[in-house]
Amino acid sequence: MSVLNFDYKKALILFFLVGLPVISANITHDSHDTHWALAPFSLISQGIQRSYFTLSSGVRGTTRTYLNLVGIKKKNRLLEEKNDELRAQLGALTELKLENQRLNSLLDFQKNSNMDLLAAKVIASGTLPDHSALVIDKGYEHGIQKNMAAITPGGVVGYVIESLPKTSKILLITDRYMVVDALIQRSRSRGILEGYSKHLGHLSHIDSSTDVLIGDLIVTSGLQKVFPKGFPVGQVISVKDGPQKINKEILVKPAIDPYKTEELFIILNPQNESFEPKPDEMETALPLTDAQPNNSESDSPSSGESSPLKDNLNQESSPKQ
Amino acid sequence: MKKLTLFMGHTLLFYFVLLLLMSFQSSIWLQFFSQSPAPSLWITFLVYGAFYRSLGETILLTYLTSFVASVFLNMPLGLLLLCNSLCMLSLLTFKSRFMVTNPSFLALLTLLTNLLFPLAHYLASQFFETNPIHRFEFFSWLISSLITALISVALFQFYMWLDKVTAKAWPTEVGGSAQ
Repeated sequence: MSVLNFDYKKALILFFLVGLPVISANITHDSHDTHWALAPFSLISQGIQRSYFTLSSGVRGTTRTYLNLVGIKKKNRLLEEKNDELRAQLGALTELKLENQRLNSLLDFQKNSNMDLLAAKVIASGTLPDHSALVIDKGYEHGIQKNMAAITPGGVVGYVIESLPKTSKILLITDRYMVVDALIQRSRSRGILEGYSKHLGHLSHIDSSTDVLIGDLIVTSGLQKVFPKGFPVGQVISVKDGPQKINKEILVKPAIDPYKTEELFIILNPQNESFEPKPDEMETALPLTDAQPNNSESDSPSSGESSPLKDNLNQESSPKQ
Repeated sequence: MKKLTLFMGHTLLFYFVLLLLMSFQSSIWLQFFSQSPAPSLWITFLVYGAFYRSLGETILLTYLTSFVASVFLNMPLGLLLLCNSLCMLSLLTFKSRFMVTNPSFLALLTLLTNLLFPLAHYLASQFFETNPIHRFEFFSWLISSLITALISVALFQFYMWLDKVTAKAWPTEVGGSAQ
């Protein structure tokens, strides 16, 4: 066997198969230095890697955005439903809050009053604009009788014209068949308040010499024994001389809008209470408006010791000259 | 006897419907639409009665409708009866000259009758009431009339269906022959 007969091919294969891994195992990898020969490859690979990353991240981002959009749409629909639900709840809560405020004011009024008051809810109303009536959820089974007064803390609503077992009908202050014996609070002149139109009353039987100004408060006289004395009915919004200048034609805006009434009181015994202001309060009494006609005799201040009734009227109306 | 029972049953059924409609007008409408003008649903009864009832039944219908409506409208019965009678008279006069069977045309007549009613009311008020109407609420009535006319299209179909279900015979002028 000659040395020349050595199979170099086999030896080379053996070397690569066994030798190289053995050699490689003993080579320490220096992470800090890049061999100069590898630098161009590193540079190129870096560029390619970055390009691939940018491309793949772009594709992935677009795909994710699309997938998210589907999710967002679904989520948006859910949120919208939730929002609608919350809105409905908010509306109901606001309604409850307002009802609570109204009921609280009614309760305060009932507590501070000497009258026997029966609270009732409005359940229906007349639908013709020329005839005004409300139906409440209390009837003669609850003690309501014909001709009993219906009021709110803000003013007169009307009186009972029909009492059935469980419901009663209230004729409103603005109905043309309504008649209330009334006083001009400041001048103490008496007149008859009748319904005029859907939102106004008319004070009649006031002679032309009577001292009446726009903004004067009209109160109940108490003579009918239906309403307590001195309870607000409305406010003068227009004063004109009647035909032949014998009477004055006075239009009155009700102290409350009877059509907006949702809860009210029925007075079971009006004689126990008087809402007449004390003499010192009379000096600072109405008219409520700042604007006075030139022949005004009253220079009284319109603020200061104002009564709650007066405040209520100030809030509810903005009288015109 | 059977005929009378049928007639009574039919009439009662119709007035039960009128009661429901008037309650809707005064109570449910108030809850949902507050102070906006409400429809005058009793007018649809008058219009339908004028065209689909005999003369005797029409007179009875005018009275009964006025009785039911006055409870809900708070209008004096005499005044309401007068206004309803005037409306019915106008409708009958119209009927004697024109043949109408189409519910849409009846809706138009409802609109006109609904505008005639407040006019009759205003005039009657000037004659008979001590404190007559001072302001004619024209827009309120106009809106009410439009709403009533819109609702009446469905209501007339419903009335016709009720007539059909209860086997109510129409006068010959309307259907061509008694059913």
